[in-house]
Amino acid sequence: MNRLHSPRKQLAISYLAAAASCAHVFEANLPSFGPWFKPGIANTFTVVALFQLGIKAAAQVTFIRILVSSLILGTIFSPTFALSVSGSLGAIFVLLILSPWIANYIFLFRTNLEENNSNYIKVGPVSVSLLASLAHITLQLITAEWIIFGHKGIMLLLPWLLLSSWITGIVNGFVSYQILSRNIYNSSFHGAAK
Amino acid sequence: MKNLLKYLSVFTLLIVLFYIILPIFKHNNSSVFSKTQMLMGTLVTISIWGESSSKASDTVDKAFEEISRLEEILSWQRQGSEVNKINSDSRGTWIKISTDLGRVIEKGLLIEERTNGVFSIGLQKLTKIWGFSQDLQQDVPPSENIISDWITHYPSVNAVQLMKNQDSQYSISLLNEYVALDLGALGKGYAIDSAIEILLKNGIHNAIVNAGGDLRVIGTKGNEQWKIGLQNPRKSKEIISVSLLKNNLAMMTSGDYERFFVHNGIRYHHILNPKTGMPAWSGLTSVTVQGQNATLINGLSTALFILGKEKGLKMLENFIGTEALLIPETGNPVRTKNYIGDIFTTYNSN
Amino acid sequence: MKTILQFLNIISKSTTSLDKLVLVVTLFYILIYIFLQTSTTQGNYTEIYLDNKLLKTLQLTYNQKTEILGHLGVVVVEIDSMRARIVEYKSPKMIGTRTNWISGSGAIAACIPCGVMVKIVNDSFSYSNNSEYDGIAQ
Repeated sequence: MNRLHSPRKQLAISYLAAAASCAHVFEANLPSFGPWFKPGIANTFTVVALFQLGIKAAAQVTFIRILVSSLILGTIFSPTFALSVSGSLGAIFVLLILSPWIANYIFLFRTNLEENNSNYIKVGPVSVSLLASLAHITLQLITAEWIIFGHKGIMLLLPWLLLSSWITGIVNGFVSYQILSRNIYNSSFHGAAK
Repeated sequence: MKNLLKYLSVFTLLIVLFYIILPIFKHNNSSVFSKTQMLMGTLVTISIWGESSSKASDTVDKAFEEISRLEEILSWQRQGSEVNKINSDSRGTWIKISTDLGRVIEKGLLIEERTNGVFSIGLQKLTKIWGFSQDLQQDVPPSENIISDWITHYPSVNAVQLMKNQDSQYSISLLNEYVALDLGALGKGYAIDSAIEILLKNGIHNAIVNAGGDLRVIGTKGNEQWKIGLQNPRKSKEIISVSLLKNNLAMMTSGDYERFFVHNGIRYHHILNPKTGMPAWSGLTSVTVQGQNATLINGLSTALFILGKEKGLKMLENFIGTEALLIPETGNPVRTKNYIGDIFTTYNSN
Repeated sequence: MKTILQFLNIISKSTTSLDKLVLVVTLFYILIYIFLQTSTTQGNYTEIYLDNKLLKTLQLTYNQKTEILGHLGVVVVEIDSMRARIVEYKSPKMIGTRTNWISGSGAIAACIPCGVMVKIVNDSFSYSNNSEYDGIAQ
């Protein structure tokens, strides 16, 4: 019902992928908050894609974003790229697991929840973004340990990084919620959804 | 299709949750107390299972004290040790010695007899010629003249003589100036045995005493056996064999990788053959012996290393209850029938 | 305070009940993970021994270098990102260089001829054995 069909869907995917790439490149140019801390704004668009267009579109947005932004930044096929891909694979895997429980995003914003009780036992963008970011950092660290650094000390950072991505995950989820709520009536995507 | 995905994801989530919860319960199984000190020129670690940390700590300290007491007797590298005094005393006379020293020399002479003098405890002068056991290792072999001079003067029999009178008082006699005591091949084992005795006397029945890779276990680790890994002689980080030990068993290793230098592509190591005056090149890189008495098998591992595979295994048959694992430079490791410990199939001498 | 409450209100409005559960449960697990790690695998500090006598203790949380006068001259102990090591030193019995960086409660690096030993210690766990093996024969 809330799924779009091509070519409108493809147009929507490319919009979101473009926005995500911009966010990714912008973030890479921000002053570093520390070697492993990144806000991950680009992931908000993946979450938006998941809620509006489905899991397939979310995966497409993510991988287009990684490819495009690493081409722009010149990090393609470098260790950073491997970390990016492995982290995103983890995030996509979590989205796949969560996809049967994703709340219908149009009903998500109805203040009168009695109208659609099923949303009580469904997940919204905040926890989707949160769980995806936890999976992202975990897989990234495992990859860093096995492929790049080859020593065990780095795993000692994991719980602290989990805590920081718990915070950024929630913030990003909240941002995606805002994007979704603004997209609901005025976006051109929704002709087919109604 | 959607239902299937739902069940699948519930299943995955449960597995993930299980693995998150698991480590919380896994932490309580390590009730091994261990303490490490630098003694006998190596790291000595004593581990005790199933005791309160205060009792374990006190007993371990007593065992460490015993080891350092023995070091003051047995080590020729210690100024003023009993061995050092004997070495600087006059030759050909009988000198009264302590019981500890007497026992070690007794074991050494037993092995010397069974190996026809290939193993000897009087090689301190030769060790010094080669510069092993000094704090800074020389990296050039000594000249042939010095070695041949030593060989011609070193007696082939009765280099060291031991006497025990009816009061269990030991006396010793060294034949000439070229004979001087070096108990490096036995002292560690004796110290381990003595430390175990102290532990048993203090009511501790489950422990390991590990002196730089030579060890003896008593008892068990609860329902488990003590798990000992054997290091690859050529790659120090790699384990090539795992032994599950229990109930009073010692495991001592001699190898050419402990102390050595390489000169012109030749590896000169610290296990010296008194017949040639050179390091023992018998085609082995490492010998591990298992048995009840750490002192005896400490000497046996060195003797086996010098003798090589065939002669060594034949010699070992004289000592009931001892088993060995030999790792040759090329080819597959060899072990006797009742040696405890499987060799990983991935091990490859190259 | 008021802004925090406002923020919480907004978060609460934009989440479903399951969302809130997920938030709390994940935070709970992360905090347990942090607690377990800080109390077990990660040593709190290093103890430096000279001739088996405790010479000094150093916090692992500060990157630093210390010089100790051993039997063969000065030995440098380096601490960096929760790990410790004895900086390379020419000696045949140098266990310190072989062990390299050490981390985790109970780990030991030593320069035997210098008489210097570095050990990672944890207050809350006197029983420490993180290794797979109870002993290594060598």
